[in-house]
Amino acid sequence: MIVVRAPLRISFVGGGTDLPGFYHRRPGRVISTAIDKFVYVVVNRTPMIDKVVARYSITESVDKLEDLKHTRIKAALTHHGIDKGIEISSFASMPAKTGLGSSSSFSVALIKALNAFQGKKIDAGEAAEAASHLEINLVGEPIGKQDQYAASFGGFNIIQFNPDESVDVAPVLIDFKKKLLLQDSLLLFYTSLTRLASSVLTEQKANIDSKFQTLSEMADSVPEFAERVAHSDIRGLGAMLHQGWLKKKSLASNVSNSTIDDLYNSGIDAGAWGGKILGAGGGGCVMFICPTDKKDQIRESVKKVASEKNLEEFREIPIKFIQSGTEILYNGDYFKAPIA
Amino acid sequence: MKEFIRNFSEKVQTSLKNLPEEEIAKALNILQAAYERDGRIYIFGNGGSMALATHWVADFNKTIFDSNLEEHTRRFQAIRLPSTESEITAWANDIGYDMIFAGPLKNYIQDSDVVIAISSSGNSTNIIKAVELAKQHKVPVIGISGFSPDNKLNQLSDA
Repeated sequence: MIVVRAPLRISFVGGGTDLPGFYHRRPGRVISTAIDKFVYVVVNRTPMIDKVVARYSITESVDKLEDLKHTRIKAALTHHGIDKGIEISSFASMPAKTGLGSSSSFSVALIKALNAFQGKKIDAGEAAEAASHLEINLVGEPIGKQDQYAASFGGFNIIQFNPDESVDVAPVLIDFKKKLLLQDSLLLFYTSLTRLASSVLTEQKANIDSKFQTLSEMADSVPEFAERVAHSDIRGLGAMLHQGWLKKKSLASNVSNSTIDDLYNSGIDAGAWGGKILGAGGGGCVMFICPTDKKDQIRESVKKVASEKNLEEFREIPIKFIQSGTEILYNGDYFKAPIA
Repeated sequence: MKEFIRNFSEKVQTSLKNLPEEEIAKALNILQAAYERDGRIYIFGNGGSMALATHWVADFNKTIFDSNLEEHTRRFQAIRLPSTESEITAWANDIGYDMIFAGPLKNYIQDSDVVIAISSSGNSTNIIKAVELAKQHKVPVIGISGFSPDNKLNQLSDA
């Protein structure tokens, strides 16, 4: 049995510039950090059972791989040439579609687990690239590559997407105490509104030409954001996040809606310096950067709006930044000869 | 004599001022990640570097969290390789000195671990063999070397 753990992420600015329609013309850039919420993938070898079993929100057990409904597991197994004798399960600390990148975290964990299953060790870059290939080329999802890289590498990074498809991951090296202050200045709420990233991104993709200037500004603002992170300019970060959110809203009609706008505005009115919706938009999580002494006020005000809107599962999600990326926590599968 | 000591002290201070901050920051991130996933840290070196390794193991396993362990509930898990003198001589006598670190490392290494290799020259064969083993396992390597930056350990290390 092999157990792999991949972190979720929060992204600050630059989302959308990781789509090929943009970064083929000029490099895209995002800044994000891994957080202490995880997706786990467990792979088990079943030499006596000639089936493919996948356990997630449902359990599938098929004799032929082509009958598997889970598109990404099916594509990944096909790609790896595995068609029987395997059982794959996934677990997560958060529901799906929160805007925290969980579906790509799953893919990176799956890729790492299947490679380990075949006796292959791969590094963070290889796992991220393979997961991007799986989601974008093999499954055909209209998504970018930022989440695969964020999950695979872990930590706080600037991720740059180059026109030649290469990706550079540069860690933002932050003093421990400054990192704690930034962490303490964030408030994250799960709206309980869910959406598929693909529904928003399909429109966003179609708009890349007309929004090229806006996207360029977003990519260009990433180094300045990192600079402010390094100097602990929390108020400045809030202002940048706010500007970024306004730009992101202009990228596609369904990035925001009235419920999200009301939640966001109530946080700003209660004293937050800025914020954004995490993920492609349309739902997911809303995040604020705020003075630490305004947190209770913001909580109260946002929760009041949520209850007016009958968002029953609305809640605050406490988070910590983490350094670890997608890791094999346990590998008790000795079928293949060990390397070296 | 006093002048020699003063010059020597100045050289040490200059070296400390020129520490590669970015590489050290990367090393800290690697160690934090290992801590978060409950991985182990293997430290090794020859001669004086082995003494450094032993000292460092004590710091990781005991001293680092002394002041705020309540918040953290657990310490680092660091191991000096080889962990016994018997293993050093067994590997050296039976196989050869080149294997005194790689041999024991292969015995322990898991995907979630980290390696810290200390070598003044950065070219000691036994150190490089162990580091190459770690790289094959895609385990992060923190390399500490001196003299010139143009050495094998520095090239192979992640920080």
